Amino acid sequence: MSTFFQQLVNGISLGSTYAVFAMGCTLIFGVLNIVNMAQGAFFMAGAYFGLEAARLGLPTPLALVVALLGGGLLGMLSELVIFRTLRARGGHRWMGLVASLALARMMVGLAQEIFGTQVQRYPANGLLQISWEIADVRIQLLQVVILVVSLLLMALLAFVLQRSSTGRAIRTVAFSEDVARIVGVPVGRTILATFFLAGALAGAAGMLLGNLFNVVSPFMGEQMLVKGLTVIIIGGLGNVPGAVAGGFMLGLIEVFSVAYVSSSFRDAIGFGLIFFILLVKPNGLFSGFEERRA
Amino acid sequence: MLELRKLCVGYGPIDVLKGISLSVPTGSCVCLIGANGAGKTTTLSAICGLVAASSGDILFEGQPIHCVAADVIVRRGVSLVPEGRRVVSNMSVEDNLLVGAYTRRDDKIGVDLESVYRRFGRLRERRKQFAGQMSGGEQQMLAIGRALMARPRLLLLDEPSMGLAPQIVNDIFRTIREINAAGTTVLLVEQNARKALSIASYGYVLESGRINSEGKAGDLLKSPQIVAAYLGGA
Repeated sequence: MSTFFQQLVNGISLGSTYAVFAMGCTLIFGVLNIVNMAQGAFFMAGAYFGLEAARLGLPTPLALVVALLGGGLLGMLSELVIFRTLRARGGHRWMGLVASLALARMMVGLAQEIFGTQVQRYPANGLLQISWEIADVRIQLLQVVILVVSLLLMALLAFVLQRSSTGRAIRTVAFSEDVARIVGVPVGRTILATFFLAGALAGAAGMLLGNLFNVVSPFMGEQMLVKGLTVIIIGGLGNVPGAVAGGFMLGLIEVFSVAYVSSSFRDAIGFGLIFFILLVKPNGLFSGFEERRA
Repeated sequence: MLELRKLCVGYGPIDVLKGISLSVPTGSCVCLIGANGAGKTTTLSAICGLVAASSGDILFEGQPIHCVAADVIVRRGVSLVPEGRRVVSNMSVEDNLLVGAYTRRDDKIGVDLESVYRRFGRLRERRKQFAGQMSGGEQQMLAIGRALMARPRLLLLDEPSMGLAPQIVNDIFRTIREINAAGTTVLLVEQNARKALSIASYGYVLESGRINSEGKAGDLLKSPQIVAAYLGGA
């Protein structure tokens, strides 16, 4: 029984980082309907931004802010350099897909050049050493902090989307760019803000996961992008609460399949699930709540 | 307040508007009537900056606005109630109204929200509901309310009667008249010519991209040509 609870704890903290990353993905892929394959690279970059900030001696909360801002600025850059340019020229969405894939590759190459291909680790901070044992279940302070930070980011995004003027503008642009123009929403600037939010969430998720596993590598973004896509399909494209639920779900499924089946089956089970969901509920598990789309 | 001078708009090689001129004096209610495809919606889209004019001028309060971005035009005081209402269906009624005030940073937004709710009681009852779940008439009220939230000095309405029951149409037109009486200048585009001319002071008749006749609303209602072409020969 203690294995079960131990894996539950591990799965929830892992899943919370997936959820943060997936919220960013669903904003771009689902809400704006843009295919940005560089989201994974922003995740990787966020992990390095956080790492460098921590090495410079910044406290962890400030390092997280650096990862957030760094990821957000990269997101804005991808919009300005790639997607806005392509839209202005009437480019097809496939072009955006390929161009953003190229950007991701360039960023991976750059990270290899700067940091090397060796896995890097966060400098020791208090978070790793502290843990509690409750009835054979070990809970690290780090896991708790990651969960709390993830929940705060979720609450923040929900607040921005549901309650702020920018959030209403984003939802209006997602509904129709012409309607947004009619009510006076500057469409270009609103899309740019959405890219910032999505990039910032990816960057934050990168730092959180980098801390959780204490592993940062130039290649960590590629796998994550596939996971992000999995989660937003499970949760329903553009559905932010769905992305959160899907993120926790994928984290738990991965952890439990490692614990009870075998670690080599981890991806087979996770991605087997997406096949199954696509067949049974093509609009995502939460398609009954279509009106909750952001 | 608004003046179009020899405005031409084309989509690709096809000219939809072939040089139309019209003027909407401050405080007036002017209507633009015409059949399907005459270019009525294109005229409004050009004024709002949604489509580019190929030649001619659009002057709002004496300033040219034909190369100004759509959101800046809203900021200057021009709001559109679009054809087919176009409320954001997956957003609540209240959020639809609040996004209408996007361009404003003043502290009177709450006051205006209250006055829209006072004007349209149904919207207050349904303010937490998704806009897409409302009836056509309620969505039309919402579209008008959303436009009012920007505090426009010129309100453009595109076919507000479309697809609505006669009783609802009467309510909507009474509202438009009230808005105009309260000081907002109105340019109304309608296929329902009789209804439009009954509240407007002046009318223009658009046919295949040209202004074919114009005059005081009362005169147009009596003109034999207009009666035959647009008022069903009654």
